[in-house]
Amino acid sequence: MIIGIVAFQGACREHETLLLKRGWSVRRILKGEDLEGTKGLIFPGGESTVMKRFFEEEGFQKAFRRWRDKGHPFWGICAGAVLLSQKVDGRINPCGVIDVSLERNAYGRHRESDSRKIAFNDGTTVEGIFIRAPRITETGASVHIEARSEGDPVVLRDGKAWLTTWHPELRDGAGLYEKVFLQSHGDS
Amino acid sequence: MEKREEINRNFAEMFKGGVIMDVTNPEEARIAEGAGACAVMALERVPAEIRAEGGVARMSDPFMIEEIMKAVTIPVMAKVRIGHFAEALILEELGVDFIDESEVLTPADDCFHIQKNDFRVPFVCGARDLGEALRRIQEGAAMIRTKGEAGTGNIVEAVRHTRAVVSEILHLQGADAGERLKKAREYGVSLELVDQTAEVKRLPVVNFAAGGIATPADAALMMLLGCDGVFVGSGIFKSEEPARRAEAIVKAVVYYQDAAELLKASRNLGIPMKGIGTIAEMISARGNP
Repeated sequence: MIIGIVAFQGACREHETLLLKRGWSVRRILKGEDLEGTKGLIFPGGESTVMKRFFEEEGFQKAFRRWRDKGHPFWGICAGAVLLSQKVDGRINPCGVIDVSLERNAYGRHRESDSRKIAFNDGTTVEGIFIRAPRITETGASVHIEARSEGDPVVLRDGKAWLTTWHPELRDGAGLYEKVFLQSHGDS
Repeated sequence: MEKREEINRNFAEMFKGGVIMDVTNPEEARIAEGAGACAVMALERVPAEIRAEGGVARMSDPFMIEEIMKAVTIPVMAKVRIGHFAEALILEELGVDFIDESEVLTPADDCFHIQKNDFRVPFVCGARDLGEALRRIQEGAAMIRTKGEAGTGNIVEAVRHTRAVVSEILHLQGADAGERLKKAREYGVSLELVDQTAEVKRLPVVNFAAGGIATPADAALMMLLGCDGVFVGSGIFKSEEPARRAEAIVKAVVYYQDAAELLKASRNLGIPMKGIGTIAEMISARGNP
């Protein structure tokens, strides 16, 4: 199984290491045609303003829309979650695909970056690293909140699309690689 | 590792594949952000000006840094003099996202660097070889950059420094326990840090190129040599068309393995900074290595 990592900028290496450890193949995605044949996609953390310039290019958007129609899972992390959210800092994000509102750098500057306790719905907890993290402020009807931290939704799922506002790749993944890419989810 | 040290290193990982640009006012900061910079370095004079004007180069006025912090949403870095931990305390209080303990400013201490482990804010430091890089990491640097030769627009020193680090790490990989111990003593760092470097086959923190990058091709060269990203100081705002050049350098870092994209990025950018061919004063040699 090939998992693509959208590699315009940011923390790709960490995902690569963890995906390879699980015996999966990895491909760095820089252009629309790179998506061909991938069975899942990661939008990693980094700077969303940098990634946006490349993500929003017409050629990439066209290829991404076609790829999404195949119904494969994809996952946005921190800056990646910013790219995929339909509303960012109170404005419509034209290339957003997940029905949530998000506020960038909502916890403050890097001084406020920290590890926080994350509680999943099934009762498991992990320590997650939040770096200049965004906060999800509203979620649409189709979006499930899978985990919270201090009341804020921090892991969300809409069908096979996932968002996390923190960085599972900086530890061991918190079981999310398996949840995102291996399980099939009904919308119950 | 301390939790804060880990989070600071993790933050630096987020810069990978990015370009960090020197800016001297809010307007330049907005141009840099618009062109795709992953962070900006706020300073009063770019290295080429410091070189030309001389005098003592110090930490910038916090008011000026704060104006830049208000102007953009990307991380803001600022420089302190080597060893000047009072300047660092002030910038930490201000809330900058990263501090560059930089040879570009006039060194304040010719014996000691800042004990960066004592701070909550992360630091980036320059290095010319592996020993220097590891000493800075041991002191708590969360990120390393080549010293290169700031303000020259001449890439030769940055290339030299990157090649030195790469070949010294390659050497460590083949070294036995005894030789690694000897290297640790020679470098003045712990054996643990030497072993870790040999094991991960790169510096244990993010490693950027800096000092002399003036064109998209320069940026691509540094990426191809194994750097994680680039700093561009004078190269952007001392060129004829800063916005276009900035954008082109960002593209060159993203597509550094794609010659067709590099060709596109290199076309029609106006006149680059003039630069210095034969470097008389070596800024990179300042401060205690």
